[in-house]
Amino acid sequence: MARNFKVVIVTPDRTAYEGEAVSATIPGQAGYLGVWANHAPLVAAVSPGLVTLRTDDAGSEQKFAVGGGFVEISGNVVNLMTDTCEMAGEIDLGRAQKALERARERLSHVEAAMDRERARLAQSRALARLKAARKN
Amino acid sequence: MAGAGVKLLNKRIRSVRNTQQITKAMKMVAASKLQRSQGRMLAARPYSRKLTELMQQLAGQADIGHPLFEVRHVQNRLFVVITSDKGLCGSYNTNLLKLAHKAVDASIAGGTPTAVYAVGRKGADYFRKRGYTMYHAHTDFAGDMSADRGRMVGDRCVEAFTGGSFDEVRVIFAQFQSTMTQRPVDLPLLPIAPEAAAPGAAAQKEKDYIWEPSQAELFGVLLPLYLRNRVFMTLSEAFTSEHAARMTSMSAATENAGEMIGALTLQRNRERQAAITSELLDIVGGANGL
Repeated sequence: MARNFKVVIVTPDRTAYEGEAVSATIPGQAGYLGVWANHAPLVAAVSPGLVTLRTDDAGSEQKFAVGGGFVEISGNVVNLMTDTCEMAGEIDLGRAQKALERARERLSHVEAAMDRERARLAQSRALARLKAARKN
Repeated sequence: MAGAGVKLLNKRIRSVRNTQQITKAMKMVAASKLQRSQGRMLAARPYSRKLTELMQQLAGQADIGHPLFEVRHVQNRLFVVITSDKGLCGSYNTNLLKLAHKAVDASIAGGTPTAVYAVGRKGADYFRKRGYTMYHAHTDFAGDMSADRGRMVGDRCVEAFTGGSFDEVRVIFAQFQSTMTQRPVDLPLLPIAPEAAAPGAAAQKEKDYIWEPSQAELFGVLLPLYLRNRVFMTLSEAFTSEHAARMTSMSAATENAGEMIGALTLQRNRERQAAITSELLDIVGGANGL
């Protein structure tokens, strides 16, 4: 029985990742989704956050910070479409930290709903980046 | 004396050779830009394909009204005209602007106030000079595509449409068919045409998806992304066409310069020979007279 499944992460400018995984954790809009092989067909909105792929039974992990987007799961293939995707090694910690501070700062005094939403998204993106970079 | 003619010809040959070196360099620059642009276009395809597939699946299942689908009576029309910022790319801009001019004029003649959204300096100058209403213009893209630029243009189009200032947005750009041919086309962008969303082959492999959140909500998030992506792909294609056109025309110019150098060299050698011959005749004539 197939215990692995295929994961493809695409962004508007490249195919960021393509490979096999044993399990995946994906930040769905309504909470983290745990995906194992033979998952039921699913389409879900993805929030900015941390994607974790377990690539073998020994527990090697690969982490990505992703922007918002969609995930489509069918026939043991996970297709993740997202605005941005960075592997742990590609993340600029200083920049993420600054972005986080900026977003927090804006959230503390900006009133307009639109701007708040934007700041909130920026904040979760920055948090995801920091998480992905630190846990390695 | 014939020497003056030879001197003049030498000067011209040198000048043509200089020009040839410039066009050759420009051709090489365009070739490398074309390669990069084409690579980027190909790299962006998987995402675009997936997104389109997903949208078709959604549209096939859910009959959901969305502001971006809304077909209104067209009272104001917007043309997005994508040209290059710089010249020296053969008939690329000329062909584009000819089509654009005709389309805009036809729209105005039909009694619909029409504005132009120019991407590229050539288009912006062309329509501004002729006194057309400009919605907005970008003149600093320099044929280089990025996700940010795609988003900027896409958001502006959506804003123009959903804000009610325009009831139809069309886009005029050069389709990339091959390095040798780029075809100017005039395509509708907004409202999103039903056939673009019609369940295509992708939807046929119908599956029992779990949708999270609901289909309607997903659709609402997906559509703007889809549109942004379409604008991005359109711009990438247009810029790829531009580099291809520039490369082709600069390559032709280099070849022409080579031919010209050949012809001029031939002429110079002939004249030089004629001069030598007449001098010899002079000497021989003088010797005979003695």
